[in-house]
Amino acid sequence: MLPVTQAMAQQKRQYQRTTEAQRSKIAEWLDLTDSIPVFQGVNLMVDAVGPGWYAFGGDFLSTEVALEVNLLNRFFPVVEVGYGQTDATNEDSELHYQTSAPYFRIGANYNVQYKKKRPGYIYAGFRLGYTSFDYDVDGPPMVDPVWGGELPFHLTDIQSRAFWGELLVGVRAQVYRNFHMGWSFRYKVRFNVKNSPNASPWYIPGFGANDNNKFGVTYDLVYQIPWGKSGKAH
Amino acid sequence: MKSASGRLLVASVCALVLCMMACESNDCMLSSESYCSMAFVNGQGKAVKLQDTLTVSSTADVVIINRKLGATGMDVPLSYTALVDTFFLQYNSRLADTLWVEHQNLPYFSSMDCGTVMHYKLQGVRTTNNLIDSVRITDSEVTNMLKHNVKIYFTVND
Repeated sequence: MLPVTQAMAQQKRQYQRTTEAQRSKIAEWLDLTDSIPVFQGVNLMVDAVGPGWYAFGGDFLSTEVALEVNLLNRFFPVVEVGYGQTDATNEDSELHYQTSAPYFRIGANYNVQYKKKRPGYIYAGFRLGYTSFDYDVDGPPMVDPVWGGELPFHLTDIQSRAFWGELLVGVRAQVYRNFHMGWSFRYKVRFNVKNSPNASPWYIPGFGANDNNKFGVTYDLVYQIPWGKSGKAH
Repeated sequence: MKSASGRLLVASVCALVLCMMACESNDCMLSSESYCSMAFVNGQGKAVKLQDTLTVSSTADVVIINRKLGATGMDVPLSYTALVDTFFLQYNSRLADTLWVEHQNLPYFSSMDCGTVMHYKLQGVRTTNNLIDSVRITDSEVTNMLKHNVKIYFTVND
């Protein structure tokens, strides 16, 4: 009988410890939410990798701005708007591909160091991207090797659209007062792309070269818009 | 931002960019031509092997198959510009059939690296009936991914 009583007492102590731990966690959460306002400010960002890649000889030029809301220094809903374009010619195949169109992404970041009171953080996040665009392809005439004859190759105003998702991780650090910099490393998965009977797009604005999945990187130049005291807080 | 961490950031980005440039791959199809693939079957729809030699030629005076023994099918090129192609199937010195393939031509852009290729959409297939009983389109899309497009039903048994 005695061992049973001891076991029950032990279970009771364990239950008390568990509930205390849970209470502590909730209290910690409440303390955090009580100590700082939910709205912590707005960040304006531009990506430097897109223009940089093009400047160093890349085929694609992508310019992008983003607006990010800081909630509790923990959650960062973000909207990214960009313009992607290419006007490329392949020297081997002599094909010329041209397109330019805006693209949009929405998503959020989560600051994994939200408890630390310092002006920089490490984050993980996701994006959903969409673009609708037209493209042209020109090339040398197609020569029939068996039946003879040739066919000019000009495809114009082919309509397409694409929908994709991105998972990302990144870091950001303060450079000077309200200016921050940081990079994000992204894994992109194409959910859907519209092909025509005559072509599948080679370049998708905002996504990059057409593929099922790919990696991407951004280097963000961030301006923390002063908003009450929040500009100084984090 | 500390200067050391700044340098680390720049180095990380450079490494990632170089890695991504190195990882770009070329996924071109092995064949840059599209062939209409035809399977030979008997009246029950089972694959047959022709006992006679088979010679296939086109109206362009091109011999596509030359005296092949035991053929189980044939892959024929279609014209880039014509809408109907005619093929002559010579089984031996005495027997022959003529096959007409109607198609829509679809110039196709694969990618900047892989170039262009002609795709087709089959509209109809007709034939004479010496050794061939009938023909049927099984997949109307002719691309450079080889797959059976037509079944040719022969009156002979295996």
